[in-house]
Amino acid sequence: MNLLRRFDPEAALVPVLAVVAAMLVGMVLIYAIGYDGIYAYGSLINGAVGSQSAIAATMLRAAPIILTGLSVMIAFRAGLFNIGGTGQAIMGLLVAGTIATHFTFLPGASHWIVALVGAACAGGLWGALAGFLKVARGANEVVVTIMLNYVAIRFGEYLLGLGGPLQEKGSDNPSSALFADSGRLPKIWSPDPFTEVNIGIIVALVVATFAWFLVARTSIGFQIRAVGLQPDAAEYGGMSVTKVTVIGMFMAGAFSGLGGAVQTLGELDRLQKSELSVIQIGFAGIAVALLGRNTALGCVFAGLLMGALDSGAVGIQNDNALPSGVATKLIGVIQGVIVLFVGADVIFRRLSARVAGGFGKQRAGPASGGVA
Amino acid sequence: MSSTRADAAQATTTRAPRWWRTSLYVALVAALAFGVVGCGKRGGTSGGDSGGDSGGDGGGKGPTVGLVTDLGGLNDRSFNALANKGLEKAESDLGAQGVVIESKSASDYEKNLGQFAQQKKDLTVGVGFLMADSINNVATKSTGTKFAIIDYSVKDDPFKSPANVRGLIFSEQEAGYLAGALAGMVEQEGTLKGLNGAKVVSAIGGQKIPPVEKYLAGYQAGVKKFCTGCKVLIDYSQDFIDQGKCQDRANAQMSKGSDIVFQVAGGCGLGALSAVKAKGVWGIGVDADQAYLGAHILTSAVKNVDVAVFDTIKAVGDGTFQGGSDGVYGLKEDGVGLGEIAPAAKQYETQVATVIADVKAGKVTIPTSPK
Repeated sequence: MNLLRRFDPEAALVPVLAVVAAMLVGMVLIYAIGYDGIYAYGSLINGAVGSQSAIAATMLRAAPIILTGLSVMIAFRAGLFNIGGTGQAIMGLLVAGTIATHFTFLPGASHWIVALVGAACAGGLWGALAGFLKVARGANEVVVTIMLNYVAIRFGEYLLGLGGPLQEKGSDNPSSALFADSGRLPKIWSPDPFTEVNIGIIVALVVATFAWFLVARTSIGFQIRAVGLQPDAAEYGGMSVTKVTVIGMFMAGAFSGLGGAVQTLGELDRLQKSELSVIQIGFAGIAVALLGRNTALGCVFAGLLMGALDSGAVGIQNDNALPSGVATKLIGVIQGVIVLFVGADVIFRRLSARVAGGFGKQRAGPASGGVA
Repeated sequence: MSSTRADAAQATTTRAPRWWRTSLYVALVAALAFGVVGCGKRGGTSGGDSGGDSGGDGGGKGPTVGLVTDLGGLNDRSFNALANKGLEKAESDLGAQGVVIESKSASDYEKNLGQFAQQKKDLTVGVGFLMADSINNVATKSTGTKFAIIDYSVKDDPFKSPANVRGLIFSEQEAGYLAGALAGMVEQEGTLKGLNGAKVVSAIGGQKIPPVEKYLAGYQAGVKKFCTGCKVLIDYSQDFIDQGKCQDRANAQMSKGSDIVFQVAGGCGLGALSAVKAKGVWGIGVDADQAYLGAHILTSAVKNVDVAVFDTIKAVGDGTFQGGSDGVYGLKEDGVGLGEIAPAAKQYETQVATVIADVKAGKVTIPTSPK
């Protein structure tokens, strides 16, 4: 209720314009290389939402990046820039995978639930480490989280590498044993035998609601926002910037850790060493948070959109609408341009101010970037 | 919470200009981060798609084929690119109707393979052993369609020789033997520039896994056969990705006198080849023809993944596809071989041709694990 009443159409305007503009840029690019843009976009839409299977694939792709998006969002609200989503997701999926593989004594649904909780804790601690270094030593969290990404990658590679503690015994491959069935996320919807939506999307929505509630309705959320806006004033007002920074980074890490776990336990069969260095959801989360204007609800929509674009890339390839290898690059370009346009929202604001000015009195003061 | 703090929070509405600047800053850093990741992973500039892509699918009456790449993508200059080359040849020669889907993350494998299974493609090809679990899962549910996996045996875990999956594997020892033979000849004669006369060559394996071991065993045997008193150093980087590790290994081997380094470590091995270049000695590429790296590449031990893919598509078209077993591609089947030989070493070409003929005729027994 309150969520809707607070909904500010102008806050949503910039992301929508950015998406439209980026799609136009993509269209121009397609025609520039001599292909049919309308046909390609038809395939894109078909691949993204054109069938139940397509919608299911989009939901599968969206769940983990909604979570990493929330991770960037909550850190940003506390005035921190979390680029450590990758490392936090890796710590999360390593713990989740280990629990799913080995803790077979856990009965029924408690198995995967414990695995997710473990992932959240592991990711959270990894995030809190960066927060701690910032408050204890003044280390810039941007640098620290980037570095911790590599530490996590290398740590995982050690665990899963040949002779590593998590590597499957007696196997030649640098990967863990198969997850136990009870450790995998339960399937909730199968539009066709090959596309099975798991409970990950529900987890993402629950966490998004939690994140919104935390930021907008709790005391710690208030402190996070206050510190994010003006740490000195918050400190003067009696809040502990130290506490907020560490807690904010813990939350951020926990969300990313869940993102990694949801993707791994939802769609994979085991942990593979070679995947760690190419995991993308961490950085995708930055784009999601930016496009979502650092709001929980925005992250959900942005995650669904980014997931839909990735599914759309498959649609384009399925129809051979573009030469092989071009579709994934094109979608990458569109996603990148979206981020660029959202960041450079001043363009749209000037534009809309001028347009609005032409029709009537401009709103008092430029709009804020959306509250809650 | 006193009201002053609440007021501070209320200030939200008047902070807009700061917001823009923050967003801009964030966007810039994000763009940089994306850029860095993009460069790190996708690496190679595309260099353009190899000629005309099929584009339309009109008129073809050959089998329908789906190809799922691994994370390397189509411009990996290796397995994915070669598999696509085989598919393109099948499109033009056999009228096959091909579709390629690139995987962006490991969680894409099963979705992409499943798409093809759902469309009842005659054949779905997965590139690389990372897809083994996914192919196994999808093939189990889709018993009516055929699958092939590159570089993985269907007799290995998780497969249980499923009737609709064929493994495409290669006789790496034969390619390794040829590379070793050339290296041996070069060392024996010792006339190429950069050689130190110590008669030491080396190889760097990624990990002790069957394909790597077979390459190394063949290489060792080849060198010994054509160079009396040559020493072959073998190290493992325990890594297929990190170029730094292979660079270190190569430098260590070169300090022990090695002047020809054979890399059998995929992307990691590129580090070895650049170390070799810096030192002015010779390197041997692996899997794909790596002559594009420069004149320091003596030759490459290649797997002709394109041949295996084309052959499998043809078998599906002919109705001779055999699931539940592996297709083994050796020198005789043109499944392995040597890449381009460095211009400076062209004089060995006729000698190498003789060795190739001997191996094809079965006159040479090549070991499959290094000593």
